Amino acid sequence: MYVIIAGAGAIGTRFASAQINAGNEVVVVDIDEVPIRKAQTTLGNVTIVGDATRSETLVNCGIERADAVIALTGDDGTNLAVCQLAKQEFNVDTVAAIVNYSHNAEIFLRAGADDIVNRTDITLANLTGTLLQHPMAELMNINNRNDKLVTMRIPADAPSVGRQIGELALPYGLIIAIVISETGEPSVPTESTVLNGGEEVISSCPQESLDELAYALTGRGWITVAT
Amino acid sequence: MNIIVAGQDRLAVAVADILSSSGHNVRIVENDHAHLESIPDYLSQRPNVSLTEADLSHGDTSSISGVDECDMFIAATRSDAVNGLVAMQAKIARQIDDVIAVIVDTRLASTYEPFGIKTLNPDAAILGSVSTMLGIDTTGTNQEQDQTD
Repeated sequence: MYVIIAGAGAIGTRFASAQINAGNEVVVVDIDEVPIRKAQTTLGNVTIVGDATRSETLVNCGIERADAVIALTGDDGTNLAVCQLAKQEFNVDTVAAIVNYSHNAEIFLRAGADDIVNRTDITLANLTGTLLQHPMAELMNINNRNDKLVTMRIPADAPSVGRQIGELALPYGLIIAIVISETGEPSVPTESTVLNGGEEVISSCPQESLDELAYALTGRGWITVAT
Repeated sequence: MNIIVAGQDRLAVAVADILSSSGHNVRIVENDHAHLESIPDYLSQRPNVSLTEADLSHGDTSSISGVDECDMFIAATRSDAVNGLVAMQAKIARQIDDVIAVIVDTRLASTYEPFGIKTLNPDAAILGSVSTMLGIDTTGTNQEQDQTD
């Protein structure tokens, strides 16, 4: 797969590195030479200095053969322009972006972005989780059907402690992916896995069932974060 | 009409001048205080011209007073990216009837048009005028595209 990444900041560089490790071909484009030089030291010669909101820059990046374009700059206007060009002008299959300000999220979806990552909402959700004794946080949207990847830590006094997963009244459509023990050991659970206090449960859950899931696992409701 | 013009450079000032002298209420929005101050007195002192200091670079149009009574929004900052974002906010979130964005990149400009946003390319307009002046036909050549680089 050929992936164009706009933005050579911390997120763009780490995402590019993960893509390279996954065997994908990437190019990282940024208007600023300083982060590009820094990215070059970790990624190698897969960087271009240029304005990704200009169509000819994207053509130079090889957008006509790109399978995915991901806009990860800190500037929503730039990210939007990249999405618009990629989706509407160059018909790229997969187009995704970070939305830095929540009020722009709707516009990105209207512009045809296949997926958006709402930076403010995620940061808020994680902060809220971290600040509470029983963290619950939304990690990402899995698809456009409202399935969320979420993590919940089980409090020691939760009603699920000491019970098998198969015994719990869990919401329809839930998939528990990983259970992380208190000492940080991840494992793939089965119906007979017994839950313990302090464990973290990472699962895919329909958004409307988050509350049900939170009650089943922790005995408390899902903390809704204002958006 | 109530018209908001985002930006303060020559184009924005010229547009504000023309619109206000033909009787429209014009609000010029700009994030840089010094830039707002540099707007010529003959314009800023007209009773139907007002100045607002607000940062539109992240697409936040809610801080502009009177945005909901606005009939026309002209995004004329120096940045294609900002103009596109603000124009989309004005059109989609604020549902302003007439939205015009200055976008120099012609291919980028065409992607905003399906949303009902009109785009304006000053470089192409200048090239067109020069070509007409010199009697040169540039349609169908690469000149038009190159000029926007």
